[in-house]
Amino acid sequence: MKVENAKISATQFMFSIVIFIRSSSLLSAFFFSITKQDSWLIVLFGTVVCIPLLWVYVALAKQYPDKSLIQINDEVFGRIGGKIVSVFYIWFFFTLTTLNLRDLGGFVNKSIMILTPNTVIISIFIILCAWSVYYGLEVVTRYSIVFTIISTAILIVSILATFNIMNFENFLPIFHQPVNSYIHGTHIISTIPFGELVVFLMIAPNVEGKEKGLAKYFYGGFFIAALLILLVILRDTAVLGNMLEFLSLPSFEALRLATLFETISHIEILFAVLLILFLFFKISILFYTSILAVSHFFKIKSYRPLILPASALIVVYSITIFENVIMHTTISRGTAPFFWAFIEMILPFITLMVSYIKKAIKKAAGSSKEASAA
Amino acid sequence: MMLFILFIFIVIFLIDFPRLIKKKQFKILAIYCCFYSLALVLSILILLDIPVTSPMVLIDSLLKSINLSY
Amino acid sequence: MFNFITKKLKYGLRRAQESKVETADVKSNKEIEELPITGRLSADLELTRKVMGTSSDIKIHEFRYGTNSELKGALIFIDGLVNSDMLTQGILKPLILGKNLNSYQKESIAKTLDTVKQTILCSGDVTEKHLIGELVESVLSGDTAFLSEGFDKALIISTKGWDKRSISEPQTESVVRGPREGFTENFRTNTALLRRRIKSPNLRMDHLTIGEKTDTNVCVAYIEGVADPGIVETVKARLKSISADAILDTGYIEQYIEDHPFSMFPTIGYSEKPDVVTARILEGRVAIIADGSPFVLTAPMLFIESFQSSEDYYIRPFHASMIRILRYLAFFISISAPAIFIALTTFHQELIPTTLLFTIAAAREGTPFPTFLEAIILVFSFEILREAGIRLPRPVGQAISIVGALIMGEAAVSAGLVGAPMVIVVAITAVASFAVPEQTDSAAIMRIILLILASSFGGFGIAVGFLGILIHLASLKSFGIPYCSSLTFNHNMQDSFVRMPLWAMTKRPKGIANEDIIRNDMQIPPSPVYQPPSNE
Repeated sequence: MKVENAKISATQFMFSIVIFIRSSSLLSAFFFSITKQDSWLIVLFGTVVCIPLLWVYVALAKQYPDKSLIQINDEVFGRIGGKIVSVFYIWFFFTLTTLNLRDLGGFVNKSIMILTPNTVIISIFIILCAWSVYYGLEVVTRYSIVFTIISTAILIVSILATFNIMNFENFLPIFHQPVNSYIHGTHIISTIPFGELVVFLMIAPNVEGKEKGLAKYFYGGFFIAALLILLVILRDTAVLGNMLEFLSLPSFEALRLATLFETISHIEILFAVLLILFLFFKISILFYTSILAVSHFFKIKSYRPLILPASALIVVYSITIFENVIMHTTISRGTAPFFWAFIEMILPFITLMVSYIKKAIKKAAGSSKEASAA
Repeated sequence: MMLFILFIFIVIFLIDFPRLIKKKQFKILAIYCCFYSLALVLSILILLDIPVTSPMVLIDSLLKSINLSY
Repeated sequence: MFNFITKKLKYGLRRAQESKVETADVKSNKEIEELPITGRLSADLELTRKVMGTSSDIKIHEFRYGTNSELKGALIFIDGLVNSDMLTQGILKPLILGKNLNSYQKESIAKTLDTVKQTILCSGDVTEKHLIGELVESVLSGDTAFLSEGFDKALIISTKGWDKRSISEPQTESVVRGPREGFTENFRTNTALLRRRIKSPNLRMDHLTIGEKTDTNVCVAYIEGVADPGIVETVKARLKSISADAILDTGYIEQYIEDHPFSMFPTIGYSEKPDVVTARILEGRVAIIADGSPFVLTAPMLFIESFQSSEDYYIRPFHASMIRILRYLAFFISISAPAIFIALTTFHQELIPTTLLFTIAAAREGTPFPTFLEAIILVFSFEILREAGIRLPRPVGQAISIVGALIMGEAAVSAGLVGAPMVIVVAITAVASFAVPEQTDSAAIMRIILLILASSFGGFGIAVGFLGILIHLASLKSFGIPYCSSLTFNHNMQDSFVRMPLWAMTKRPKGIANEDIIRNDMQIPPSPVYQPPSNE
């Protein structure tokens, strides 16, 4: 029984990872206020921290090449245990979709559509995502390469455009924050954009040529994305300096200051439109994985009939999830990294360990049988 | 507003429901109904201004109570 | 409801009566067509007359031939479809004047027939037919049937020769450099144009007839060993599944067999130029030629094909690449310029440089309509002008364009009905939309959708609109090949955004051609052998 038969190429998979993380650069405000001008350092720390995490993901995908995360849970923890673990993941996927939608709504509200109610924007957007999810994985990931190229080009243009207002003294002093805040920042960055890569374990079985080396593409995508994020953060820090910690959309403000050829100012709207494209990509993937997870959970043949009620649910959930932006930021900074870490890091690790142990036991049983037979 | 929301829900209902019945995919139908009724109930609660506590907030207070927070 | 039932009943009764009358009468046309040719000349001719009716262009010419003119014969043909030179010189003259039937004509009727076929008729294509229906069919397609007293079969002599348009330069895809021939309405001319360009024996032209009333000749051309057999089979199967009474142009076929009938994007390509079709066949595509249409369909089609012109490959790569990028830009402008203008002037004024903003505001001062209405009016009047300009004869068309340009543009602005900036934006849009002729239709629809979205949601609306278009594009497939596969870098990129030099385009497009992938085996870059002049 397979819900999704479509295959995507490994390069598409890699660039999907890139654009998935790249579109999260909106969230840099979460740690800018904590680590200030040293934020670029925590991107490096976060990358280092996430390498073993990625190793766990890749090992899981390698262990069960034809199974998605939910199916792996069933296999490893048995019927009931697997379902309990899977509920966590499904809730996590839906919440991520909702949070990203809400971020997008907030961003659009703040940047280009000041008067339109948030719910309207979210509803329009979820309809778009539903449409793309309806067509399946191929359509959801199709534009990953183009979007990566566009986003990189825009990043380079924006760096050039803001070059004259960059002040490299903004990076000083380095390592002058309390140690605690470095740990806090690293924790946030490794759970909020980077650890979310766990959703790609739902897609991994559909990658073409995964037998040859999914790891290369997984790591490759991750490193490209980390590099792009690093550039964004360096640019924002150099442009904004001390103002960083007070702004809710640092990248957006940095571009607001940019000027091209004296006459074209305010290129931030352009950036906003592009960011909408990228966030669309991220939300589609999240939405897709959520519904796919549900369909794998209940072992049904098609996820398509569930799209519309699920999108209604997501819209409603996005209204109720937080009362206001401040609550969103406090929770995301305060407790979210902990339970995200539980789902993104500890659960997959346990899954991997249990599967190894099971395998070892099986092997031991097999060899003892052989021995007794001999 | 209430009418508008109900209208949207009825439209969603009409798009998928008859097809599912026709194809006799009752398992999907059951899950469909779960999602659908959850969304409907939540949206009515929102419209009636009844506060709904989100799971995020619950977990937040839970973790705060065991001091797992920055 | 009752009305409907009674109507049905009446209809049923009438039909029953009709069929009774017919069976009571002699025989229906269908049944006559199944009858064999008897050999009694008068009876056979009677049957033929019954099937074909008394149309004035159907000629049945009875004559006597043989040594002492003692054999009775008849020729059946359609005036205007046959070459009359051929008819008199190749058939009538040798039959009536040829005396060498002498020795056989009394011995055996069969031998006489062979003699007539082999030694008298001066034609390269003579076949025998046994049924009245077959005879009628060949006569209708322009051949001449020869019947004779005592022969229980008809000789069908190929005499097709009607007036046709000669090969001329096509109106739609004119080029500065490159072949100027275009397809014509004549089926054989078109196949010959292709055959002349591809001399490989692997070029297959599989023949089909579609259309219950028109019996249109349709031919599926591809190169065996290059084209994907699956795609060829799909094309043929879809063609065979057409059950319509008429195919008047390849446009009919396109609509009957395309993958996405509800999409605004064309998923089957077409061209009027043999060199373009040849190039596409060589890339592994399948061409569909239909009698009566100078447009040849090619499938599968990719979105980027609309941005490729045959001239791109005839001029050197640098300029070709530049032009191609310009085309993408023009397409983007043609679908989004009015929408972006509206979003800027009504939602995001801060994006416009201050001086420009003042200019626009000054130009718009005193115009009565909101920008959105202004844009819609202008975009629609442009579409009207375009439509009027195409259909009218050329001299009148010029008048239309003058009226359009002066009244719509100049007078409307100076009268203060519309703002000058809007006229400029719509004019740019119009000019840009002609840069990509194949997507002009879809661009017109997208433009209006984006316009509406931009005027209600500003920049967010444009983003949503573009996302919608992108999702739709990604969901399209043409005969199993993703429509936008090159656009998304999942394909050979040598011939997409830029046109690489010919020697660098080493492979045929992936997915379309699955066998014999290598297109050329050139040294990269080619270094012509240079022999220095020897000193001796």
